[in-house]
Amino acid sequence: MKRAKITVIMLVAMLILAACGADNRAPTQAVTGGVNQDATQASDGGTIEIRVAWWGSQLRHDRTVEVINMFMDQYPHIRVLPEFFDPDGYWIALNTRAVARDVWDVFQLGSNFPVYRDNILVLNDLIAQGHIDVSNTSNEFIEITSDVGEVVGISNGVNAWGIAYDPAIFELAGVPLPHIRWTWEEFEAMALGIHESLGIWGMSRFGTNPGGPVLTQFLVQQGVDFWHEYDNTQLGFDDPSYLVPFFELWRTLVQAGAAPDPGAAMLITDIEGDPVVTGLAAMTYIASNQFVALANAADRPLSMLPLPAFDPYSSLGRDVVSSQMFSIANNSRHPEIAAKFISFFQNNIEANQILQGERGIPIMNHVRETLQAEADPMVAETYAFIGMMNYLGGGAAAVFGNPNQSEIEAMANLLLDEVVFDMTTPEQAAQELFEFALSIIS
Amino acid sequence: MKNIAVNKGKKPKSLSQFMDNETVAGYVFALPFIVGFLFLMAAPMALSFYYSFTEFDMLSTPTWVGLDNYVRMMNDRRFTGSVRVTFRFVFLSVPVRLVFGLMLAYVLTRKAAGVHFYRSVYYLPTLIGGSIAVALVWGQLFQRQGVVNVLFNAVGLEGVNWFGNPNTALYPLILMSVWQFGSSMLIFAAGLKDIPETYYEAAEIDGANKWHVFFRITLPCLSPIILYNLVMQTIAAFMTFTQAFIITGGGPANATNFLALYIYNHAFNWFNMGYASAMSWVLLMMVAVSTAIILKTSKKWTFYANE
Repeated sequence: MKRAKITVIMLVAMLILAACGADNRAPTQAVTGGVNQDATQASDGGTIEIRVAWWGSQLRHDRTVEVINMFMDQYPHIRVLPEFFDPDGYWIALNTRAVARDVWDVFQLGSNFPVYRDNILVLNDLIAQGHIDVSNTSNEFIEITSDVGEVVGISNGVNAWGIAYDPAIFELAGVPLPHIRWTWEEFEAMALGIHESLGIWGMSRFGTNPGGPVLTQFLVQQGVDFWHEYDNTQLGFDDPSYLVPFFELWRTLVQAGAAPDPGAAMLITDIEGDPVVTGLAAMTYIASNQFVALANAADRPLSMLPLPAFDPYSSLGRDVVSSQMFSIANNSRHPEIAAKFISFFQNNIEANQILQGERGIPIMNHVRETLQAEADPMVAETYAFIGMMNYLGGGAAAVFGNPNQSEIEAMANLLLDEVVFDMTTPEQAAQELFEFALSIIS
Repeated sequence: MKNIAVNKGKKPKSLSQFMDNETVAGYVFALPFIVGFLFLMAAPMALSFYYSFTEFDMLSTPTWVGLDNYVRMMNDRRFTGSVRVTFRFVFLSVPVRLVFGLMLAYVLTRKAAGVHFYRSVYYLPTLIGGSIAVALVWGQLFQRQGVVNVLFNAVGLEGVNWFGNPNTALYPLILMSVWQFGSSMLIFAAGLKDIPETYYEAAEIDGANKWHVFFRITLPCLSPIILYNLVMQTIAAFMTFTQAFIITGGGPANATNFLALYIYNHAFNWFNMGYASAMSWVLLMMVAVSTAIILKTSKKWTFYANE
């Protein structure tokens, strides 16, 4: 009898536990329910909740949370729940939510947006209805985040890739400073020269992903592109020999000791840990919106130039691009509120005085002009750099990547390692990467 | 009891009798495990088996591709490379780890002052072993200007560029795994204590020296424990992931690209869930075959006192 009692108690306890489990689930299921209930909820006078998510550095988290608080002060009936991540954690969280159709109302995306295309709400209607105010920017800035006429997000700022360098090290090494129309040949000579006279790296790594943006730029500088303009099953080039110069350059620099080997590069985990900051390298490859963080960490004057080219007057390979954007999830129950938040984030001057263009140079003219007028010397350097890019003009690089981009870039990074260790030649590596990329996308 | 019985129907005795039945109570108590097993183990395994025959990017519905994923593996040099790396890691790390575990267990089961303290200290690395923090520390120790190279320089040796060279990158990871010998040490220690004193006394009377005693008595009596540790550690070594993920990212030139890491990349970075599932099943087969070989050959070298 006693055992029966215990058994029944156990059963009841389990049922209660199961019920609790079910309770926890209910709200998430409701969230995926649909988009239509927005208006009715707002009129009750209750608070509306939206979730905003992004990746970035601590600096970005602090500033963005401050802006979110400002927004909530201004609209007391809206509650914004921030969720922020380091770059790796963000994609893991987003992937899970994308599958569950429970993506945050407002979420940050980069050029890898095609992967999440099915989760993105197209913004054309919200813009047309005035929920997102774009009156202070030009059509070009909306087009950099558009996919064949459909606006998939609003750019949080524009940037361009370039080389940041430490002029003091150049002087110390007795190597002439780089200049606006420099070539890859000069770049190589400078990196080697600095290594010879100081024993440090002339060049740091080409970003976390050398098989990514810089390799593409090498192609665009030669008049082709890695990705096809609109067809995801084709490449933008038909001859692997376009890839060879980058493999050759990287092999020369690493084998001479003028750039970090793969093991050393792996240990550089963030922009604040770049060898340029610690004085172990003279140049590094960054996006312009990272320049302020780099200069702050280094705590001494740094400069930034566009990438070198194949000859002084050839194309630079890449225009100014959107660094990342805020998109609205199509599972959002409050798309109009989400739009209101984005509009505030883009247009409010006080908010942007806090953000300080940390995500890139703002696309709204009035915001950009205010920030530029108040800029400190290092921020001013970023504006000067973007100005330089506009003056030089870039090539027509595809705005967005390919859904298989990251696997192909990983292969490029593997081949870069193998070339450095003489396990393969630049020509063989180029051939293998070309064939691999074709086999993956077709 | 009465209330429930009354509410449930007309046969009050049958419910309590039913509940009183030993098999029912057993199932009820085992229910959490059964449910967990079905939904967290069996169902995902069945699904992954199905996915291994499909192309599946997690966002759209899987499409059936038959054996394509398995054929792709044969032509994927990154896969064959990662299989080689994984086997090299297993062959090098498991024996060294077991020898260390046994050595320390042997020392720490002797009656001496502070043995309990040392046993806890040596177990610590195992407690924190799989963590990201330790992997990060390990990465710093072995980097170019790391402590290990500083020590090398201090004794007049040239520093080694551990993670910058595909030929040396695996060794710090092996060493890190060897350092986590705690769990096998504990099991060895328990085994050592189980060996009857009388054997040792008899050996002493016969005039055997320490080496004889160790190789003729201790090792044979311990062989079933060695077998258990060998199997468990081999399985664990096949699934190594954290060290490579955190410290080397699989590089340089895929020299530390363990199969578990390669599977992870395909599944969660490149969205090739189908291919990743197929590779998981191959990994399972590799573990199963290795374990079977160990068990098969073990009959020749294990000794059971009661046989």
